[in-house]
Amino acid sequence: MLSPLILAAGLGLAVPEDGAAEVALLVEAGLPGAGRVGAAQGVRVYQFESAERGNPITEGRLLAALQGIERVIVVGPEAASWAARRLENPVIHFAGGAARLQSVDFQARNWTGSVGYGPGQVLDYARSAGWRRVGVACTPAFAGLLPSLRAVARARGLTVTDKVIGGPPQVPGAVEELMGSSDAFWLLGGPLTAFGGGFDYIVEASLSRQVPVIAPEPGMVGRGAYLAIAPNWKAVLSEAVTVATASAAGEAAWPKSRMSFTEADGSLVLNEVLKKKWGFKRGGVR
Amino acid sequence: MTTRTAWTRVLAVSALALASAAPAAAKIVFTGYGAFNFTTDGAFRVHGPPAVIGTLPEGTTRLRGFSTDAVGLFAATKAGEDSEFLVDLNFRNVGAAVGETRIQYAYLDTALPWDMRLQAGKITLPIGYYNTRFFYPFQRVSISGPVFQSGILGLPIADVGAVVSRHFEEGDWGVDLRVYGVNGYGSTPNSTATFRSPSAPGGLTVSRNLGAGNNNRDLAVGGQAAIGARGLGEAGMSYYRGAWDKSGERVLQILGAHVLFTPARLNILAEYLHLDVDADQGMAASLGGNGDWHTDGLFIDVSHPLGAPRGMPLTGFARGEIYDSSSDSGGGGHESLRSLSTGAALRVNDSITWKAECLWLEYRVPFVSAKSIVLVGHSVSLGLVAAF
Repeated sequence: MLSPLILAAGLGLAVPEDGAAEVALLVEAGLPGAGRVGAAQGVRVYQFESAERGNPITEGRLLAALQGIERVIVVGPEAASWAARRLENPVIHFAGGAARLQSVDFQARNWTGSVGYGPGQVLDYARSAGWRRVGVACTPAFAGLLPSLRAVARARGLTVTDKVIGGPPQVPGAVEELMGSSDAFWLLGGPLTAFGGGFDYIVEASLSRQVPVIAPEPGMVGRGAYLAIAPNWKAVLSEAVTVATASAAGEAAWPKSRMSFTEADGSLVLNEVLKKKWGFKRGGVR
Repeated sequence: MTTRTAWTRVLAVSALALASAAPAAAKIVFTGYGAFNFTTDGAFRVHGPPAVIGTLPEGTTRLRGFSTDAVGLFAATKAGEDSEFLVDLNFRNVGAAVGETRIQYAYLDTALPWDMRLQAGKITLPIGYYNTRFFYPFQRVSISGPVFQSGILGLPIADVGAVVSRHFEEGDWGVDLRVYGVNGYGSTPNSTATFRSPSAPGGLTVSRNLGAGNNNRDLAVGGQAAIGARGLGEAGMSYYRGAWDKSGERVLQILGAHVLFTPARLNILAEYLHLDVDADQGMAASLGGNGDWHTDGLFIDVSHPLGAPRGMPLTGFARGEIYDSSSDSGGGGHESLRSLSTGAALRVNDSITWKAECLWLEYRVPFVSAKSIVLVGHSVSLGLVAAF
């Protein structure tokens, strides 16, 4: 009896390679390098205009274009917020912007994400500012980052204490414990702590205790955080294109970890008002 | 195994392989919006010859009440590798029944060779910037659109035909070229020699002149050229030309120029419009002359963020417009429209926006052998736009 695959090939029908999948890149327009991302072999590229959020015409067209695509890589924080709310594709990876995503969604859906920067840059600054003890808080989706973060901190002679915050009632206790025993408080992510009432509470505690907050997004520096890393979006985009192209070709390139750091360094964004007020200087002098 | 049984199995397996290889049908994605208004206070004074103001009560009319501006459903579906089909089904004057159901647009958008795109079907014409990018309430800050373009030209200007476009990009700069052919504006319904009729209500608008088919053998043609840069804005010119009467001899031309300037968070849109109409006996009774008349006008819309109370972006706006129509032969009267409006929009989230607006309007249309129609008034309105 003829093998159905051989028969299908003989009839000229496409036989999908093992692991090959239709892949799309949804890139936030306005990010550095976003305009230069062109279609790659087997990868569809779409631009997300954050100014068009809430426009049902453009949202409907984008949803129609993305439907049926098995794997989507979303690049940028505004694109991530929109995609988390509207996309129902089977597999989604959020490259940068993952701080805005609910842990329950990561756990329930086949999502992976990266935070857009690496731990080394933050910990190098912490060491130079004399912050020997760093308290790290995150929601469950980001707990996978903690082992590598601890290892990088150990290599720099820093001590990391961490707390995974599962729900709003745990925020005050975790903040109290970490800020009471740390020189700096690093918020890895999760909207529970990174936005809204949770973040307001953390900023209030930071200001009263003079414990600097390291935030997951640069925009939070203007709202009371001391430091954040602005991702190197060109590097994040380049990595996303590489993963997308390889996945479309059937290579085992899709991120395996639920959450990961990005290799490329970004830019430090400092709260100059707090820096002047609290007097942290390089070399640990205050 | 007998030969017959073996072939039966092969056929069954082949059918299974074909079925699994066949592409799944694309689903239709529905989105939509609703725009609801509450006029808290409105007062309009109308004066004019009874024969022309029709059912409008002369004197001052005061307004207060709720209304559904529009409810719209958008459908989008993939129609091929680089093609999609798009529909806007719009419901207006919603009361116990829907007073007006429109298919605002319904067209195929598909790729052509040489990086061109084709839109074919009922399409929104690329005239100006407002018509294609600011028309819907979720696209703009204000509740109402510019009065002349909305009330008299009748936005959106959409017609059956095709548009071919090409986008050129270099760095942050882009150029868009669009050309189209459509049925075009016809004469006033139930007339062959009248493009606009100076009677109220309804006669002064030309939106009903866009019919289901072409009233003559002439196809209206036009185009738009625009240059823009991200973070800076866009400037463009638009042109339309088509015969509006049954004989195909009397021509309507529309010339537009627009500038959108977006420095920092400021948003300034200015649109200039020139209409040129041949031998319109309807407006000859108003403006005098032989029926050749023209309109020149401009609106400027400025908006800027005013902060974000409780994290909700608040945007303020101000808009002014001035339009004047007169006979090409000079003499005669002038139709004039002036309006000023200001207000703000509070974006609660991606789906809900609250708006407030104050509008002042003055409109005059003269008559050769009677006194003018004058409409002067103001309104204060609240609006809700829900997108889904």
